[in-house]
Amino acid sequence: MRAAKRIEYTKKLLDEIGIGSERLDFFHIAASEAPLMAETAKEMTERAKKLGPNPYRAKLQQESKP
Amino acid sequence: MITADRKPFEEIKESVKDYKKIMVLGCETCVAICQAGGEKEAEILASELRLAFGNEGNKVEVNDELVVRQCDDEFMADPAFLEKVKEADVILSIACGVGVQHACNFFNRTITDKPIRVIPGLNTTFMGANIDVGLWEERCLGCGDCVLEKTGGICPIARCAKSLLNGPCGGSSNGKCEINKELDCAWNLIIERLEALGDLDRIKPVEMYKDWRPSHSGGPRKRVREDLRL
Amino acid sequence: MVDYEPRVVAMLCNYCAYSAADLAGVGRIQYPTNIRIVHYLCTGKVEIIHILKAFEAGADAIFVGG
Repeated sequence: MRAAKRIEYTKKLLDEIGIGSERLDFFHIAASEAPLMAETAKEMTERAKKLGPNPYRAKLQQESKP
Repeated sequence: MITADRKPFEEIKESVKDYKKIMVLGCETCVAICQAGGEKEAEILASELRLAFGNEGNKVEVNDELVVRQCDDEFMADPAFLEKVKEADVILSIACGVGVQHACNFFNRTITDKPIRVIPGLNTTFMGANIDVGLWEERCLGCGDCVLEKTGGICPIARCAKSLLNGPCGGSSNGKCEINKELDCAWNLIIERLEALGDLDRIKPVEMYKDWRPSHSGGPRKRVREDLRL
Repeated sequence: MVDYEPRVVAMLCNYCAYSAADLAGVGRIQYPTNIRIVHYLCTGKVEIIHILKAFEAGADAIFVGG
């Protein structure tokens, strides 16, 4: 699948630029799998919580503070 | 077309780390087709650099620009574009080696009040064809003296690892090259093609030696069409 | 960071994951409000630059569902 392959490639780029590949993922979710969709949303939110803020955003916020 | 590969990101980052205003300059011709240095790739590289430097708290301005061909004056002569070039600390060109050199030459010829630094973001690889989606293969070395009419449209100079002119070497086995078992033996392909065409007698005359003077061996080449010159 | 609420971008295919998210709504299945949905007609159209730009804009995690 094109998207899956492209995401794999993009994950490599994210590691290179220091964002980290764990912040991006691809999931197969069929139209009928509403619980899986909710589960995935939960999982990614948890993951984002564990990883902390996107380092790029964190840096930007630091700078904007006086 | 001319094919190229992007340099490793670390290498690119290292080469531009001392500059505050970077312009990633894409080229819309060959390297756009082989998806190494076109519009998309320029945008992606600019974004990557912004994120990578931003992560380290390094405030850098990275923009991306695109020209149709960096190997031609007329596509870069736009005054508004040249103004942007002048404002940048460094031009990170993702054209082939020809484009990088020509852009550097052109900018420094046209912009006289400030030297312009142009550095490459790609490694130029070869002149090749798009064999399949995402696959390119070398087809021509630019030897300056084409022999394809004798060899059934398959080039022994570019596609035989030894550039042999009189049939395969002893290392050819089961149609594969001894240099690399995944490589087709060019002479095997030539003979099969000529056989199919009924033209096998074309390779009967012995080729004495190849005149390499029209190739790069004679130094950088120049092509002049007097009737086109002003 | 105490007040850290992750921003998760969900890039969803119209025919699979987006419908699943829709169905989750209809079925009242709860999922975190942290996710921002980007609606694609096909995840094959998800470009690398979309992902990078989302990170530049401050996304903490991204998932592609198709």
